Amino acid sequence: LGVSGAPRVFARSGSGVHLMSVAASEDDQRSALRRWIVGALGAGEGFAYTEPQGAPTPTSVSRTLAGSGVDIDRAHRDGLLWQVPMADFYAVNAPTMLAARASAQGLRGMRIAVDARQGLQVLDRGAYLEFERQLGDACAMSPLSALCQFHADAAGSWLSEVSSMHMGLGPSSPFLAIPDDDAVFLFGEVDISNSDQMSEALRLAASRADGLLHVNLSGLTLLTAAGCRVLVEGTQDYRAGGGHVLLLGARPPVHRVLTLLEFDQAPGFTMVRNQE
Amino acid sequence: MNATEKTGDLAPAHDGLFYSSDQELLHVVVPFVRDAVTHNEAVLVVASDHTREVLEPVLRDIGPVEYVNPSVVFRRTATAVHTYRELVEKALGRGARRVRALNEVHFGETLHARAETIRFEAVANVGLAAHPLWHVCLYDVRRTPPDLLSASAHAHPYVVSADDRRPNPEYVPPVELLRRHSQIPPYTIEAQPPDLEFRDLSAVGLSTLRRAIQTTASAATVLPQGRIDDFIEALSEIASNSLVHGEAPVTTRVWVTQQRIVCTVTDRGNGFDDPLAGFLPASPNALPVHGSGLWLARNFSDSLDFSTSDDGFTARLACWTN
Repeated sequence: LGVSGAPRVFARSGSGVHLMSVAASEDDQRSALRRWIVGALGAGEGFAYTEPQGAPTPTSVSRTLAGSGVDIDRAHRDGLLWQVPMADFYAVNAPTMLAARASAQGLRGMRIAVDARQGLQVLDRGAYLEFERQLGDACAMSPLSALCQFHADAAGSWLSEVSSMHMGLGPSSPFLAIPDDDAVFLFGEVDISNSDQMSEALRLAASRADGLLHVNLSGLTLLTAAGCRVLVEGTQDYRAGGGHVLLLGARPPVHRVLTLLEFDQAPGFTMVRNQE
Repeated sequence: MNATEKTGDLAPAHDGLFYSSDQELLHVVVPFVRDAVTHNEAVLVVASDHTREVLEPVLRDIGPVEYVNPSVVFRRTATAVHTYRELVEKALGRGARRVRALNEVHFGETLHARAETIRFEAVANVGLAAHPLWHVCLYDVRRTPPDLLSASAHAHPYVVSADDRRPNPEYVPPVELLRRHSQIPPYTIEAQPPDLEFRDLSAVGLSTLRRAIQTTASAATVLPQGRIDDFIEALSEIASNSLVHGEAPVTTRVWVTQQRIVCTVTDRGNGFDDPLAGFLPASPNALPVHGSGLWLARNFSDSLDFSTSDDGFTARLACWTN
C-alpha cells in the first residue's frame, strides 16, 4: 500500500477524500506528507496540522517542508497553513470545524494529515476509531481531505478496522483518481459517470511520466468498458510516443475484465498482478 | 468414411454429426482421431460423461486426447468462444498444427439454455473461423430435444456421417440463424411485480443501482458473491449502453429468486440490429473499443437478448445457479 498525496485529487465535487498510507520508514512518511501538503497549496486548498510542543520531530511540518520550495511563514500569513493545538486537532468535532473554517475563508478545500502514532498518544484506540469515523463523514460531506499516516509496525485487528474506514480500502469506496509522479492510483468503481475524471487523471500522470507510467488498480472494485476505453484513449498519445503503461495489482474481477479485452496482449501495456 | 479428405489444408471447419447409435458415432470418430494423430493435430473432447464413456476406451489406443469439462466451456456463448480460442492457442503452443475437437454442445435443459446452444453453434461459424480448429459437433438424435435438433441442423456448414462428409444443404449463415432465434420469451417471473425498479435511470444513479442489486441479491439468492459481482458488471454495461446510445427515460427492473436474477433495461430508442453484437472478443488494439461493453456483458451474464416493443428497446439479462 503506498497511497501518497499529489497536486490534484479527482473526487466527487463538493466532497474530499479520506486516505490511508502505511509508511515503512520516516523518510517514506515525510515524502508522502510533503507531496500531500505541496499538493494542497498548489491546488489552492488550505492545510491544517498539529505538532507536539518542543523541538520539531523528524516528520513535523517544518522539517517536512524544508527544501520543498514552500515559504512556510508566508503560507501562514496567507491563511493557507494553520497550526492547531493538539487537543483541538484530535477533538471529535475538529474535522467539521476545519471544513467550515476553510469554506468561511473562501478556500477551494482543506487538507489535513493525521499521524496515527501521535493521535494514539492523545486518544485511546476506541476514541481514535471514533475520530476516524467522524473524519470519514466530514470528508464525504465537505471539501475536506485527510491523509492518515500509519507505520508499518502498526498491527492487529484494530488496523483492519481502521483501514476499512478509508477510501479505496472499504467495501464500497467512491471513485477516486490520484495522479502522482509517473503513477496514478485508482479507487472505487469506474463507469460512464466518472470515466472522464479517470481520463484526465491518466493524461496528467502520463504528461509527467518519463517512459513508464504506473497505473495502480489495486483500489478498483469495478472497471467497466467505459473505464477500459479511457485506459486506452487516455494513454494513447503517451504510448504512441514510446511510453509504456504498467497495469498494477488488479483485483480478480478487474483482472478478468482486462483479460477479456486482451490488455495482456495490447501493445504498450503490461499487466502485473499482486503488486505491493 | 471420408471425413478427413477435404480439410487436409488445415483450414478451420465446423461439422455436424447426427448419429443414432454408439456404433455410428465411433465409426466416424475413430478414423477422424486417427487421422489427426497421423498429421500432428491435437484432439479435444468436450462431451458429457455418457459420451466420454463411449469414446475414451476406444480412443485411448489411438493417441493422446484431451478431455475438457463441458460445464466449464458451455457456460455462455461468449465464454465458450473465448475458451475454444484459448484451448487452440495452447495446443498450437505445444506444437500441434491444428486442433480437432469433438463437441457435445450443451448449455442446459431450459428454454433459455437451449437457445444459448443455438447461439453458440451460430456464432462459432464466425468466432472460431480464423482459428485452425476443425470441430465436429456430436448430436445423439435419440437424446436431443426436437427443437434443438432441427435448429442445430442449420448451424453447420458441413455434415458428416458414416458414409461421407458433404456441404450441408440446410446450412443457414450465422446472422440469419441468430435472427431466426432472437425472439426469446420473457421469464415467467416477469409477470410479477419487480423486486427493484428504477425509472429514469441516470449515469450517476448507476452506483445506487449496483448497491441495491447487491443488497437484494445477497439476501434472496443462493448465487455465490462472484456470480453476483459478474451480473452487476454485466448490468452496468447494458444500462450504460442505454444511457449513452438509447433515448431517455431508461427503466431498469430486477427480479430476484433463490436461483436466478433477471433484469430488464428499457429505453425509448430504436436499439440496434446486429445479431452478432457482443459475441466476439473486442480488443483494445482497435481504437476506440467499440462493442467491448456488450462483449463483457455477454461474458458476465448467463443470458442476454434484445427485443423491440411499443415500450421501446429492451435488453433482458439473467444469471442462474448451475
